[in-house]
Amino acid sequence: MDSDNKTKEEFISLMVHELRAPLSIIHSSADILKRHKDDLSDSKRDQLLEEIKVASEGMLDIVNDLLDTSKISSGRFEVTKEASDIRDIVRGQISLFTNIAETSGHTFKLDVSDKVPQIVMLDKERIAHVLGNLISNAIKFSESGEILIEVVPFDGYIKVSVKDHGVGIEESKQIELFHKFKQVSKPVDSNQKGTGLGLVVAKGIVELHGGDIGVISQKDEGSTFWFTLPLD
Amino acid sequence: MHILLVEDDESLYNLYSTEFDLNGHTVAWHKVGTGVVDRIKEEKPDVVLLDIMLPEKTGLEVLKDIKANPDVNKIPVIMLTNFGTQDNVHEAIENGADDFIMKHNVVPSEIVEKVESIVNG
Repeated sequence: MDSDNKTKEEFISLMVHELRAPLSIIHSSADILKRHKDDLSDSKRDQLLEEIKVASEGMLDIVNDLLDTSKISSGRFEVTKEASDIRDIVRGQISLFTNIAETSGHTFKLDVSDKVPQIVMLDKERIAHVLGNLISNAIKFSESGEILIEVVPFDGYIKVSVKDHGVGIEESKQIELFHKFKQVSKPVDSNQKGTGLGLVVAKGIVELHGGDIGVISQKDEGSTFWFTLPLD
Repeated sequence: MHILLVEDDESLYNLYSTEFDLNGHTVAWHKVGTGVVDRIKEEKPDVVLLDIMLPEKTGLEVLKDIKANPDVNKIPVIMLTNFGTQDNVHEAIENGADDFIMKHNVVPSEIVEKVESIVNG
């Protein structure tokens, strides 16, 4: 088997596993709810419904990432830019992840330069998705500690970076991160799942804005993922 | 019956403990691969359900620890496995596991049935 086909086969196997695990949770929860409908306490019923909700949201994220990846590959992916304040997007994402971060022992520090313009043309929803992906990875791939989010002007662009103190990534593997079918590190918590598609989608979104995305990292010394967006 | 579930996935713990509880059994939960032998001594379970993929120590290493300790090695151990870990299953059986369950292939009621049949003979 050539290496392309082997990589694709490994990817399909990973996808099957990533979809099968939450599907099994949904199936099992529904089975218990149906067979024991008269025996379950309200709190137990709520817990099972929450399991179904969380697992189905996880599956939906995977399917959406697969669809977006496919659209990016075929050039059918689009962004809709509008006048936006990057500060609102960053604060919104930090707020979204605060509970998860607290549970896993992480804290956020936000540093936005005064020189960052109030208004930048960007697709708010898509850029929030990119930043959300970087924050989520920082939580998944570090035990605990501070996650620093910086927004600074950078030579005609704004640069957004997310720095963690996690497992880091070997230099030889960094290039693979933004390409399809690769997850180069295992999450710290094995309950955390990952298809590796999030960064592929993030790269597609940032490039459609005319920006760039990358990482500075060393094994065992944390990672700083960054992306740039043009100011004009 | 009292079951020690060694499994890091909280969702699976919620599902399995609910089903075992509704069938009149109790479940103690241990989330990592370390400290399992001590937990068995403490809980004195009728059976151990042991995941193969665990943080800190693999299920296969834990199985070897259990089987090497005369205080706990008579307690049946059933391995919980994921899709694609068949090689580990053979190794687990060779190392004294009593059976295995492909956890994403079955609903919790089938796990209860299997555990009851193993423990009750």
